Amino acid sequence: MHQESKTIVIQEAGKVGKGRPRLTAARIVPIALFIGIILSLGLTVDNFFTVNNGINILMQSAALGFMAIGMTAVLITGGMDLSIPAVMALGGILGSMYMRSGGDPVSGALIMIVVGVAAGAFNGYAVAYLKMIPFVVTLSTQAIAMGACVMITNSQSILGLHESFIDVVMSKVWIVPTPVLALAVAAAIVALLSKKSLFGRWLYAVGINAEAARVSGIPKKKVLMGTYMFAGLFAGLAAIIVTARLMSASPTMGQEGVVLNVMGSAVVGGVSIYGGSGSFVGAVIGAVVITLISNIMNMAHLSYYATLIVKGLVIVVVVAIDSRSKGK
Amino acid sequence: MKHAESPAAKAAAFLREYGFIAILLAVIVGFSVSTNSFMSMANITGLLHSSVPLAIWAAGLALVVMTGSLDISIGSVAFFANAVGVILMVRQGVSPAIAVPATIAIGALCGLINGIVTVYLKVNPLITTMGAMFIYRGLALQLTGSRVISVPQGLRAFGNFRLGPVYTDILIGLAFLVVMHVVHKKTPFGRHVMALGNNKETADRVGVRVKAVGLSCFVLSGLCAGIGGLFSVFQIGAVTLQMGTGLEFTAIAAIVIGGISLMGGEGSIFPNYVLGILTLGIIENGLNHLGASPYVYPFVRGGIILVAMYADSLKRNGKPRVLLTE
Amino acid sequence: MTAPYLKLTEISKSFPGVKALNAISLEAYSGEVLGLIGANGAGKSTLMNVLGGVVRMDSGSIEIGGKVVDIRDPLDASARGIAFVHQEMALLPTMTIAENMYIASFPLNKVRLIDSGKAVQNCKEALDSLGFSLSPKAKIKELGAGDRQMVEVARALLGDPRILIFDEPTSSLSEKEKNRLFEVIRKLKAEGKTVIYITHFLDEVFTLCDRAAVLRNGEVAGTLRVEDMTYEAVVKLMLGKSELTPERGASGARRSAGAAVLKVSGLCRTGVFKDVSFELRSGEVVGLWGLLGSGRTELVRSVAGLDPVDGGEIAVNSGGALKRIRPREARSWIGLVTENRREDGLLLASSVRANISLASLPDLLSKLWPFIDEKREKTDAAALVKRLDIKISDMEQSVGTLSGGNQQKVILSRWLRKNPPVLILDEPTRGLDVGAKGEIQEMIVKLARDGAAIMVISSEIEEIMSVSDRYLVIDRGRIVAELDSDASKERLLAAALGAGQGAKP
Repeated sequence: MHQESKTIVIQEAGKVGKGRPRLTAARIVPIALFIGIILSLGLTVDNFFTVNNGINILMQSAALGFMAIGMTAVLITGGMDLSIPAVMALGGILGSMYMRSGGDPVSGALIMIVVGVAAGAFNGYAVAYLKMIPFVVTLSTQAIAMGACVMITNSQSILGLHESFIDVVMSKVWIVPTPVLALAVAAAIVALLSKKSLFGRWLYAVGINAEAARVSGIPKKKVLMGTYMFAGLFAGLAAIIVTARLMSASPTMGQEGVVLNVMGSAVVGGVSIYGGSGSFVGAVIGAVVITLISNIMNMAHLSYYATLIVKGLVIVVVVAIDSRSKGK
Repeated sequence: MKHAESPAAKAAAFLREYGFIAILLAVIVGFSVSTNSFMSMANITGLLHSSVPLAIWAAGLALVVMTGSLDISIGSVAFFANAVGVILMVRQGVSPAIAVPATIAIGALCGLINGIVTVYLKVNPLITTMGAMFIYRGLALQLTGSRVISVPQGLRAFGNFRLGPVYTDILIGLAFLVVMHVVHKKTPFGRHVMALGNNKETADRVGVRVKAVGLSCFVLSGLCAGIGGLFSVFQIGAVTLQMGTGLEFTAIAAIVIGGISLMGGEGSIFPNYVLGILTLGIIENGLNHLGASPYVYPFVRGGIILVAMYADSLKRNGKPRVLLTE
Repeated sequence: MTAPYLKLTEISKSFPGVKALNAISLEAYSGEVLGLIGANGAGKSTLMNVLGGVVRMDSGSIEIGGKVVDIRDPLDASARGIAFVHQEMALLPTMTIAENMYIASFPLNKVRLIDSGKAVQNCKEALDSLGFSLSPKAKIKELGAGDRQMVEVARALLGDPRILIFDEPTSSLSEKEKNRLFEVIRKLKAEGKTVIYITHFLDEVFTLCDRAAVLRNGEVAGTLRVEDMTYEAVVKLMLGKSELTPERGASGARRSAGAAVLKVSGLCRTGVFKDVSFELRSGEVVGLWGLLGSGRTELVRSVAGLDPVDGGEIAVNSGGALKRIRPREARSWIGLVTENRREDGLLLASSVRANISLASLPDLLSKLWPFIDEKREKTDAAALVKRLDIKISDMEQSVGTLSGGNQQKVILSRWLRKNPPVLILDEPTRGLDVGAKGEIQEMIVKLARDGAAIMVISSEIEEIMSVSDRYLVIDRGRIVAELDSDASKERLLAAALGAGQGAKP
């Protein structure tokens, strides 16, 4: 077991040598460490390495992965979006209510996405043009969105979604659930765009040095605005998956623990909270790792509370390593 | 060019400085007019009574915010500290005379850990205390076995004890806040808190021990969380599983509504912090009297947070820029 | 005259590679104001840091009041009665004047709480004694720059120092505030204090000081009584005898300038610069010559569309005719190489390639799909690396690992890649070694020869003279002179030192 984790470190370290400065020790250590922990835990728990369990874990990670992609974009700009889960819940609830009242599933899904993008536009406008602090803005958005969720549902679940909605979203391609496939495709596209598209290049430039980007003529405000809208879009996409999986929507979808998971996914995936670095694929892997932690502890009959402690520690430790390597 | 300001600009400036008072007055007048039970003596004491735990709970956080930092773990810290305290009393038979100080000490210890990680290991305070929030909550749930634990009968009475028409904890809470106010306004430590909130480098240059002050604020935040939690537990009569959930955001809301800037360096216990706490309490109480569904509260609170945050950012952007940078 | 109160003898201090102070001897008397003048790097700040206990001298001695003293740290300095008023103010904006004054040592009452009454009373007395009627309870953020400066002075006076050192205290003050500060300084002088006044501005020396010492290259070039002072005399001391003859550097003969590509008229920004007008023509290098704090960096930032302006017009050459543009649009016409390449120039963690293409990513989009054409990005960047002879091992090497000169060339490449009609360079060779300096200077001249319109800011007079075809002289936010390429060093220096504005009384 110990050896396994070692080889991973070496393989990863090999990439560093080839003049790729983006893979620093601070990024590799946590990921390698966690894969090591997971492998070792996995070997001690029965039925862990089964195809079913694997697919199950990926399925559980899907929505988290979408939200982590959105969070990653915002973190790269040096900001933070605490409202992602709450916005996801609000979108899910509104879309579900529309479907419950007889609306068609496509429009229902579209509502979820539009709610997400609209909330993102609000966050982006406040951060980019009103120059408010991201933490403050998204905390407010989170409070309002959660408040709205509770208010319009009276804290009840919205049941009675369109069956075709659930069937389509939860369908499988061979043995792979559609949400998992969708996440893989989305992660691939976003990763490609982040490296190759104009917006992707601007995004990293703003995150690495916003002032240098501005001096070089990059429209910083538009980039910020677009980034928060992107995060909202992915919150909306996550809403589709969560509502279909739960076959309902409720305010608990957006509870605080989810923020921890989303932040945790990005951070464990090597995204720096100080901006400018991090990969989207990394964040998705982070989402799987975070899900795995819950899953393993669950199978090992450790309490739910122990997973809270572990996740909390993981985030603090990883960020502490990142802080040290950045000298902040 | 002060004389060149239009009346509208003056009004805006006034609102920026004293907006929270205007909001509070509007809310009080509104509820008094629209309901007849709101302005009753019983309601007012009841309102103050129910505001006391939060008022104590977040007082330390107010100081942390004034240094320009943040602590969102106070809900969990209170839960953990009080879970330990109550378990000591109920299961181990420890006397309250020991268990109560132990609770407070555990709160302070949690704060100390947060402070060390933030101030000395230089981890972003939001991340530190977000992690801490889950760690302490996890510990507390583990400890209580996720069961509600009731406090001994004698202590429960203490939480709702009255002297005439007034609950004793209102008096204790008031005394506590006065002490915090004096610490903030009248001790070098309190003034150094404000210096940190202005600019840590400048504070360092003029001789403030920046790290020690920052750390102390986190300890104080944990300490207040422990004490505030005690008051809550005594009022309710038990440590519940949801204790302190979402409290950090409510607390930050109260702090911002009171006009304490999240950028640090501004604000006071009296009047800012206290008015912020009261505004939140009054709004919920008033909505209750209006017969509004309790499910409306979070949304209204969210709206108020947004307005308060926006007002705060206006206040900052209105500051004169330093022009010559060389 | 009596014996000097402060006597510095043969003070030397070396930093790795530099002799910052070379056997400096200076005397300052009680009841006098001694001006300290010198170009950047002449040793003024090192000397003051020695007095303030921030750095330790290698050799020499300091006598105060006839006794040799040892100043090891800032506490020692204040114990010896030395106090500083810095240009960069150390005030806490949301706190009151009284709190700012006593932040490090509040007066406490019997129960160890702050005695605010006493603090306010003491503060009031301190302000009154300066002839100053501010409420001690006023918050710093409500005060103007002049009032803030007074608070700094009052705080410096708290320990009742005998020696007061003012380090460029007027850089952000208005004329009125400046005069008030001068009155306070005269008052301190009348009380018998020793005042050392560091400044760039000769007119201030004329109005305020009794004597002035001119530093050059870590040595005292001369000490003048103010009655004997003229601009010419000071400039001569600052430049040194050997450098009196003006010499043209790499630019050689004056180039023929083409059409105007940028016309700035009446540009203002309140409190920063005022009524600035000039033209830039293609094929010429214009030197924007001014001292630190003259507003030169602020001006070019506004011209380049990075900072707002309050009035005036900017016009650029668009298809042969000058077209007026909104100041904010200037960013797409004017390239600015900022003075701090590590702070707002480079993406240090990114590759050489990404840094070179940073300003021209939209031009690099592929025609087929919405992706950056990385092949073109790479070949273009490689061509520039070759053209500017940038020493790298790999296009993917992170810029943070390059030397200063190569970093600066990367930024230049960035703008060459975008090729805006106007290029402004703010301190393009700061912190570079001699070889890299020369290379960059040659490159600037060559760019202009190829048709670019270039403006250069430099603190080094030799540098600006070697590249410029003509000069704009800026002094406290105003263009005070336009000089031709044959202007002498003395002329340039005198103009920047204030000969253009407040003349000798």
